Amino acid sequence: MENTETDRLEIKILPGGPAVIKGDFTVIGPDGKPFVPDQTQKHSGVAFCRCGRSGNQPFCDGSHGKP
Amino acid sequence: MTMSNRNRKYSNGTITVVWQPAECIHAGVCFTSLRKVFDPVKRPWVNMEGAATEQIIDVVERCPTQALTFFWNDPSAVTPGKENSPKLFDTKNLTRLFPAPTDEEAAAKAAEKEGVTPAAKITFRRGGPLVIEGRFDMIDENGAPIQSKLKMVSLCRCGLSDSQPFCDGAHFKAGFRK
Repeated sequence: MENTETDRLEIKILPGGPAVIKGDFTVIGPDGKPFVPDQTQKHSGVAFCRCGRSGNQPFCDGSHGKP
Repeated sequence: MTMSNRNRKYSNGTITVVWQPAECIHAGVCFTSLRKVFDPVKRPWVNMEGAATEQIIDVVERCPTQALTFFWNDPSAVTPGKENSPKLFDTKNLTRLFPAPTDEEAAAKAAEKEGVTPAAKITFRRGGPLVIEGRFDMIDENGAPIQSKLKMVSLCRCGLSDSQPFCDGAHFKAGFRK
């Protein structure tokens, strides 16, 4: 069967906020195993923490916006 | 070559590895593949006696940037097939940049061969950056596209990098563990 390539990912850096990544990707966790993002987020993209404060690493949990 | 007095050379008598820190994107391919040679905790961080020349060459060639390159001390002693070739990053082969995959990752790769190849692979490294390999377009905080000639980027996860949104190694100095 022929390998077809999917479209490119879109990575959007939000000011003072997460990196929102949209597209077809796999996430590999620190143990080398696939890490599955919340399926409901996939349509608008998955938000990855960039501030280091999220309690749900590597994903954003809104901590960047809190004092 | 970028001119910087932070550039260093490390040799085992057979080859010389050149380190240009200004080029590094902190993807971590080197120290996750061959810690006996590349250990960021040590000073100097490169130990050329830690492994055979062939192994060192393989890892240097897998560095996604020009941060690590090498040359043969004696040009007449070059092993055929291991000349200091310009490094190319082939996005058709997303695996093998990092150490041997787990069974699940290997199974996922086998499944991919049957169908569609995902655009990219995102690796979440504990205490380190988010490493993205493959085909992607980046848009910065002002909505402008970021032109990256690399097919691999490391995004800061700790919030401390001076090179936002990219990693500059600040997580390491800060002891970021998340």
